[in-house]
Amino acid sequence: MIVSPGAVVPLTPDPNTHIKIAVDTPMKRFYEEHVTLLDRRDFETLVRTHYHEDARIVSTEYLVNGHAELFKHFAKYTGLMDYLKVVSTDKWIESEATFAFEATARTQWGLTRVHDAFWLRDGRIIRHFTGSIPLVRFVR
Amino acid sequence: MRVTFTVNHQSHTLDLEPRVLLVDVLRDHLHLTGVKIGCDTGQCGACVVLMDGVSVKSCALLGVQADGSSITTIEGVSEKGTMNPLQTAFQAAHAVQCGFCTPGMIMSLTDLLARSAQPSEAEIRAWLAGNLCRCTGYENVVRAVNAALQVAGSPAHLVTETPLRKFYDSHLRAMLAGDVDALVDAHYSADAVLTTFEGVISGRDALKTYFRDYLSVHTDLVIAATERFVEFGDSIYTETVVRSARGVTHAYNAFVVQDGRVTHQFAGVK
Amino acid sequence: MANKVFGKPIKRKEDPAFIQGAAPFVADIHLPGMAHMEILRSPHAHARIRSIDTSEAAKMPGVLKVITGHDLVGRMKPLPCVWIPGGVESHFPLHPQDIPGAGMPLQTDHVRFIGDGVAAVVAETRYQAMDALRAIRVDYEVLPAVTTPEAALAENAPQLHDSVPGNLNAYWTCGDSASTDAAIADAEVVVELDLLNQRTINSPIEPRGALATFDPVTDEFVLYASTQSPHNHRLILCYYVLNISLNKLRIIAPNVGGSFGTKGYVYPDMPLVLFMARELKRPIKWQDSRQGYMRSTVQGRDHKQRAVLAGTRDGKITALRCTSHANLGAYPSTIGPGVATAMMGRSITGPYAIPAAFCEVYAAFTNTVPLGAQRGSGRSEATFMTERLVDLFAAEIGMDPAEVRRRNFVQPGDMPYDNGLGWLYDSGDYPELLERALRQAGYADLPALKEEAKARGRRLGVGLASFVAVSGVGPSPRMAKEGMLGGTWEAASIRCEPTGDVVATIGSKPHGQSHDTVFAQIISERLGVAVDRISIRHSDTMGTPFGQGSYGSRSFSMAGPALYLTCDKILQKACLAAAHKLNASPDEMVFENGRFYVDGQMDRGITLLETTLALWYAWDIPDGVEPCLEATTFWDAPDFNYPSGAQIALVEVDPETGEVELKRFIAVSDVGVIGNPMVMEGQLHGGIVHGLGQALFEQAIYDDDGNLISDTLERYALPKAAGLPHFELDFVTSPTPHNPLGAKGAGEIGTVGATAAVGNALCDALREYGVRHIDMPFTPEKVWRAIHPHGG
Repeated sequence: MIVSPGAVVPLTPDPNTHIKIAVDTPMKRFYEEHVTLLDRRDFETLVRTHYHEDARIVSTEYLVNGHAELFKHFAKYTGLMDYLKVVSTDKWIESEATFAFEATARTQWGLTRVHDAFWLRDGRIIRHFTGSIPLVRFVR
Repeated sequence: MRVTFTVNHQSHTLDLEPRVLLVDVLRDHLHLTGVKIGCDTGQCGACVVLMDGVSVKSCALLGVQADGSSITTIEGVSEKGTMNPLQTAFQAAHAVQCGFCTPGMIMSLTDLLARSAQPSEAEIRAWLAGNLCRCTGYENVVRAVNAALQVAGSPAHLVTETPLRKFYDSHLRAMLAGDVDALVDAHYSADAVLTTFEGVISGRDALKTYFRDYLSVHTDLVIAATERFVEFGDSIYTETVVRSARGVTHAYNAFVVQDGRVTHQFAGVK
Repeated sequence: MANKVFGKPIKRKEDPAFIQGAAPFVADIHLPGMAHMEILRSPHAHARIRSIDTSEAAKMPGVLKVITGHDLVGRMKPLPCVWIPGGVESHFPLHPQDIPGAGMPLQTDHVRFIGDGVAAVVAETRYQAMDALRAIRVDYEVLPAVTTPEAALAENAPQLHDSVPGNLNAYWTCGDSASTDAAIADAEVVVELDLLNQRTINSPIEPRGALATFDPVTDEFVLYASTQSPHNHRLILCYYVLNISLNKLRIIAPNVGGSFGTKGYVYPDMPLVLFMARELKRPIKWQDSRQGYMRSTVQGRDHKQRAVLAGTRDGKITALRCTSHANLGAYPSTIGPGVATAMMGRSITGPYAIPAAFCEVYAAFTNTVPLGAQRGSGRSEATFMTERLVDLFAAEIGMDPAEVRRRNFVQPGDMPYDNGLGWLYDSGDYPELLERALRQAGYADLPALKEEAKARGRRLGVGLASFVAVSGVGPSPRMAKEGMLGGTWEAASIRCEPTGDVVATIGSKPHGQSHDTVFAQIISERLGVAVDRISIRHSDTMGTPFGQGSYGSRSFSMAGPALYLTCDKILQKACLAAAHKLNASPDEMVFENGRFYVDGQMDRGITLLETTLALWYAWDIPDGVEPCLEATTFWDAPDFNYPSGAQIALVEVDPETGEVELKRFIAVSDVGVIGNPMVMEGQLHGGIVHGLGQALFEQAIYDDDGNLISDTLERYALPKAAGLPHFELDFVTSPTPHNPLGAKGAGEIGTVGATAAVGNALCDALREYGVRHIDMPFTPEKVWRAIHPHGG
């Protein structure tokens, strides 16, 4: 690959290439609504309508259990949102009560591959797993 | 003398000079150098390990005294590259400065938290009588313990052997042994759902077919490293490095385990 | 614009490795083919060596080599001493390069303290090497020993070194003796006090270790050592001790498990492992035990002071005089004599404007472990003395101790203030520090609490300590006058990588101070690069610029500014390249949030990363600008900096048992600008407890023959978690004008006031028993005896 001096693209991709998912299945509709509520910072609606009372979020960064903790979690999450921008959604799978995706996101630490998996009960999330892998690993 | 014992779930048989201290066996023979030596006389606590779950000063024991026991060192309280809630709290509360006494502190406190669900500040401080720190003045160590109790919710999270942990180990063993029937029958509920990006697999028969296919392609399967292991309630999240005839992949898995069986699993590769 | 990263309590980057037991210390390093060295030390504090027989030891299983001091003659020189008492005549053991010597690594005919080395063994295992030590036969002629400076300076005292007549290293003074004596003679009130600031053992939890490799093909050595000054030690070992090219030795100081002043010295084990590695062509490791550490690694404090304070009935201090006998131990440690004189003597006026002051120090050699620095060295001894005197003065004139302090403080408007003893205070608000501490303590309500305690059969005492603690060693020309044989500047390099990563290399070396995180915060703030993308490299003389190391609360205020100023250089160069890319003039450029833009045209900009890449490709960069983005700074401060503080201790004494319980401890500190408040609090906690240890528990005890009785942690008490209160911290910020960060030293200031605060509190509690003073440590027995001078 020939890289011109001005071409810093490999290191700083265009932030405007956020690929939206076509809304054509129930889970995708659910997810699109999820993202919209996040973008609007409407955590009240998000937690009430998208998460079961006993819902848990499991990740290597945080563990969240139930509505009370979810509200607190998303309040904190607001700060993170300033740094996290989804660049592209790369993989998608869904079943009757589950869906999962992998996406490329830009964070303050650079490009990151994020993955999320959801199990729904009665149309609301009961378990939400989330993890991320930096595309470039930084060794201290 | 011939001595057999387990260290961090791995069995060792060693031929030891009777006079060799346990701490030297761990450090020099097994290269578990997270165990430190600060004083040789049992005061400083830098050498604390768990022997059959109980904190002991490994500089005050002979290696041969460990025969038949199960030992946990700092290297065994979390997967390499990850930290358990107590360890995480040590960082968050700035309970570490030079870091030399830290492994011993964590081992002592792991024992305390296994004994006492909600130790008071006075109890924590009294328990630390056998662990000297010259950097922190202990204040942030006490804060870290309190923070760990809050974050984890239950001290059970601080103990290495949890039911989910055992379940996961057993699941892995069946998988690595290629015993698909044992893997699926003993570890998955009848209507378990495995969601992967190749497709969604439901029910034991479909799971067996899926795992047989997977293992036929991924021969010589080895888990090279478990980089992350998180458990929370009935859920497990792991990131592993998997090696097989097909090459090396980084995999992530999430499990929901209810009544001793996986009801939902998500799997992906990086 | 408000800081985003600098000044924030971000978590330490270095922690996960320590917390998982994955961070290697010297003892944790195993190299293929490694053999183990042990050193045979003298069991006598003072003796002639008649003969040494190593023949049996050499035949022991696994033994590879046994040497005595005779094997080193002509192949190694004595260790040097590089900080001597400044401006006065001084006497030292000899060194062939006409600098002060500090003794050979192994003695051939004369041992002078219980840690002096006489032989060294290398064997396949450590156990075998220890076995072989026991088989070495040494025939000693035991000589009379001296353990105190007064005894060493007495006529007919045993002589330690032929080149040091009467055992006197130096008689050192500062201030004006005549005017001070005149002021004392004329004074309305004079208080006098004899104090022993007892010898202590710094006791980091990691004992010292050294591991050397030698490559016979290239003649190159690598030394892994628990040192806080790898660059200096490399220079000293090559140039003064081993006579090898500087290019042939690389020192790696892996993680160091605390130091508190003990690991900044060149010790005999370092040249010995290097020597053995070359002899045997194998890696050689020496790892000290705790007992070995206590018998051979430098100890702290040890000043016997006679002090006089004079003043007026209305509370004005008019003169202060101190005569101190400092115990240097058997040999000068690498920087010991300087510590024992200037750091104490110049500091005695503390935060007070005292018109006439004088300090004289007799520094003497004795048959004890060499003296070095200990956290707060010199300043702690000065503060304990002066603050005890101020309380005695207050009692004498019947004035509240807080009021006496108020009437004598140097005022913020007086800065810069010359204390008349050699320090020029830079900034500070000493009255505000004390007022805040008093408010926090609820000072006005304390008499009622004292009554309440008395009703319970106990005695409550409150003790104040106000202090100034010179830090940030230091301006090199100034340190030359103080007798430092070398520069004391600091160095840093920064390289911006084409990937957006930043790597900084520093000469300073951490042993718990949080360099990796706090220094990354400085760079992150200046360059707009995330902390996680910044790597701070240190502790290896290969690939880092020469730096002096971490001691005397100097890392943040010396290496920090070096990094800060290097960021300036980086931005200046990047600005030229950015302006070129944007077809703009460098004068028009604004740098904000990691991005250059043309002033007034926010959208006409280029990120630092893009600029770095452009400089890396170097396809189109301005004329006269070199490719790549990298810069180095050697920073020599214009003067020291002067952190200050006020501390208050509340203690409760049980008169029946003499037990002292610390109820509260308040510390209001002025450390200038703070880089990471969480780390700062940690430094304060540790510093305070270090002082509390000296006040309540610690003492190195020698018997008259020079045997160290307290040579294990069974017999030397360190503070434990139980019995310590929650520390109440507050900060006042007076930035120093002496560096661009405005930062002052902080590692030691917790310690500097703590002994005085506790000592004053204890004496306050015991006032009704007529107790005027007790020497530290305040053990129950001593306190009980003070309460019951005639026995129970």
